[in-house]
Amino acid sequence: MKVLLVGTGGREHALAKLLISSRNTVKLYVVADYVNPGLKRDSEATGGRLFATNTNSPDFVTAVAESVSPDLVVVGPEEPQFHGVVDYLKEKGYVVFGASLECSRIEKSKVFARYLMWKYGIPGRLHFTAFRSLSDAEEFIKYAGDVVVKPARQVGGKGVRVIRDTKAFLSEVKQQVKNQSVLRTFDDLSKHYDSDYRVLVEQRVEGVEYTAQVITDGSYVLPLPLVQDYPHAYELDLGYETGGMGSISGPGYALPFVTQEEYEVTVKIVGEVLRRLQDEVKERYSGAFAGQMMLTGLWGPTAIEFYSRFGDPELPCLIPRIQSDFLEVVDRAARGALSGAKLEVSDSYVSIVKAVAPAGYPAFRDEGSGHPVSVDEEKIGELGCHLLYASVELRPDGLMYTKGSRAFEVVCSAEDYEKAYRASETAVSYITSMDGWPLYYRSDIGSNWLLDERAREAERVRTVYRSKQNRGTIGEFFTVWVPGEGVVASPLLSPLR
Amino acid sequence: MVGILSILAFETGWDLLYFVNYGLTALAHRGGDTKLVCWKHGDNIACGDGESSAGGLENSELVVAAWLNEKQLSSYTVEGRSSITVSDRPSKYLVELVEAVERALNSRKPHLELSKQLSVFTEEDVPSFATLTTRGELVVWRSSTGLTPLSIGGYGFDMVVASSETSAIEILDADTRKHLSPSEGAYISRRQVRLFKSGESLRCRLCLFELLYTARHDSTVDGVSAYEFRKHLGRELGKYLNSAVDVVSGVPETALPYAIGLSEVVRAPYELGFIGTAQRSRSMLKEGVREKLISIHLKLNPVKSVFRGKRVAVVDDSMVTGSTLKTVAQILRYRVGARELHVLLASPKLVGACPYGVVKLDPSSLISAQLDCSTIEKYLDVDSVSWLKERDIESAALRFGTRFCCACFGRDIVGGR
Repeated sequence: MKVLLVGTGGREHALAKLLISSRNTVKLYVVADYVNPGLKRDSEATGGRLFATNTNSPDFVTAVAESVSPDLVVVGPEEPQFHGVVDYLKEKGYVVFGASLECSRIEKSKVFARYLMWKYGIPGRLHFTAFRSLSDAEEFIKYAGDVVVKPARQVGGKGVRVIRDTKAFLSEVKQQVKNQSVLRTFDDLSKHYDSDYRVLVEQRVEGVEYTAQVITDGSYVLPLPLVQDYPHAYELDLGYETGGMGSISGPGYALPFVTQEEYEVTVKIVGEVLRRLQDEVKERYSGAFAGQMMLTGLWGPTAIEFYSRFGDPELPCLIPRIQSDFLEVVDRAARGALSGAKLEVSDSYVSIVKAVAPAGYPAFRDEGSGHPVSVDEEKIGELGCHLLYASVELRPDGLMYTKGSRAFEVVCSAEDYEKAYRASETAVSYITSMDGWPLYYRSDIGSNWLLDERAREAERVRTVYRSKQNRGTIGEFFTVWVPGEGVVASPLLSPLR
Repeated sequence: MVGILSILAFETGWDLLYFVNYGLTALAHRGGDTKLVCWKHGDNIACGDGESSAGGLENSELVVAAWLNEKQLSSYTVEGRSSITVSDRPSKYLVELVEAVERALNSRKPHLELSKQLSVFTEEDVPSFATLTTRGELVVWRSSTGLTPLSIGGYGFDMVVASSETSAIEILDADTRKHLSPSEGAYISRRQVRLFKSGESLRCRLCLFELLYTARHDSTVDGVSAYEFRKHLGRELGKYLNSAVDVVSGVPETALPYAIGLSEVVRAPYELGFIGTAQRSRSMLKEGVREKLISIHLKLNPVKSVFRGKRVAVVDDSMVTGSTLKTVAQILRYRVGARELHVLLASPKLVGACPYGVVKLDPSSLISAQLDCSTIEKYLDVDSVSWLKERDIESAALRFGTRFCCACFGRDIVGGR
């Protein structure tokens, strides 16, 4: 079977590994933006090859497809979806796993995603409001309070500002920061003419985040085990928001700090959003879909945002745990024949992903780019771990160079977190910088300490949402009563009018 | 004792002046009479008292601030070639420490080098410190002795806050993430945050006064809630009270959790017996006799109906010169008319100076070092005085999983691991 994989990073390398482990003979071709050494090697080993071209160009990608004639095309990232690559391939008659342009609006437009949840009354929704005009946004933000400011369009996960504002004596300076982020978001999004709303302001919630990924053919939804990813750049959950410095999964389908009931509510929410999305855009969704969730005191499982694809580093975490023939599942989803398919997952095994990034990521990527790195993949393999190549490029001199983002991911699994943790800590030590430029990773991911922290936090919000549940006020945000004026509407109006 | 606070903002646009001022307010109870605020100012470092006129602080991404004692200002701070370091107590090693830090920061892997360079101090009595560099780096390190605490917190994706006490982190709307262990430090810049450990002393221990007196009731020290610890010691005091009492009270505010704990076990109500006037003030940390008395007198207007004709247990964390309890006894006996007065102290007898410069104690004015028990009772004019015993501290250390320096109580280390 000939498979064409579109995309360049760690998620695609994880997809490649899962696809070629099929019991069918696979010939893997890859269209990537640059020569990812892992994708190049793994595709060549199957008799395929890697084509380096712009993966956001429907013409270029289709040209590769025409030269390869694949039986299945798998589109990894969201940007090619936003650029119509999936639709164009389908028009040309290819079988494609990946959300269409219309379906990918669930990720691309955060306003659309929030609106959908309100329109259909789906649980786990947050109050929000969105702005097309800068002056309206600036006026609103003056009184917005404890909120998150987001670009209305997905821009690689960047630009989200979470401004906890619960102390009046610090509010003045926080208001300035909120205002600056509104200005910056308007400025940044002026490059994207495809977005009408520019800024989304939503209520800030806190709790324990996790990702629920599913595979769907539009009518049948196959849930994958939950994964927790770690967005903070640095240990102790400090510093910048990144694409994710690592993740954990298992045992079973939930997580050590998420109950079975919370898992089931989560899957229900994700399934409901998928169903209503298809009603709304009147197209069949086939591909991967994910909810970035948070266990909050407001709702229990709460939707923060949605991905029209697998997450990274979420999918990598499932490599050692998926036992079924992943290619078969993906192929059936793409053909609309997922009904009855099962995904076997190793119940007792847990897994840990750690990303290794050059110093400078994520705020000073230029400084972190262009550094030669080497890796002892054999040693990592001896530990029973997988190595994924992400933001590294193979140059003609035969060396690998960083590209400024997370360069590698190691994936380790074992029967318990302690064992997997030890293996992952050893595995990252086999990745070294050749010019002395510092590389970093998060040593706390997968540790008992961090697991305990999450369990404590989950217990805290669980107490709150269960108490709301008992009082019948689950999901209710706040009733605003202004002394002397009476009850007024929530300042965050949802849905948009 | 003093308090150190450091803040680094990852994102731009934060005016740290506000944060420094409220953060220092949350550390003001630790003693220290003078504010020092140092920040990165372009490619230089500027220092001041943190008032609003502070030039450039509003645009700085990095600040180190502290409450220090004015008379010893120079023994707390050292200016390096491209850095400034503030320690939490005076130390003869400070210059050496700063040199070691500067050597380490010239390396490309500063956290590894810091770990190496600071390991030579593992068995020495050195202070915890915070260093700020002209390159926008922050190093915080908790001394290997572990006498004073240091915690790290985060504000969302935007800031890291390191503080002597968790109350300051929480007042700044941030979350406490870790109590650094002895010899543990962090290298913090916008480009990297790395924790490091520079050795492991077998002699590390926390100054008992930190949990006994210094920290706020709402702080957590090395994972131990100051409030719960104090209530526990209050309950322990129950076994030393040999007479029946009608009411339990204590000197505000430090003694309150002890009194609440004791009240639980002796089945006498805890009463809010004294009302303070003006701001909370820490009399033990005052230096002059007159300042101390003014501070005591301002805390002690009695609620007369609580004590009149009653048998009273008065609880305090410790007794230094006895002047507070003497004042309390005089008020309760003569002005209010209490029937019996029993004084209970939630620590052993203070008998010596602090050899580490953490707490200022003059052995010649320590009442329990100078007078025997019955003389103390006569001097205070009370019916009984009781102290906790060393073994009570030992069992509390075990229960809360920590280990204490009790040098001023007559033993260097109490509690094991």
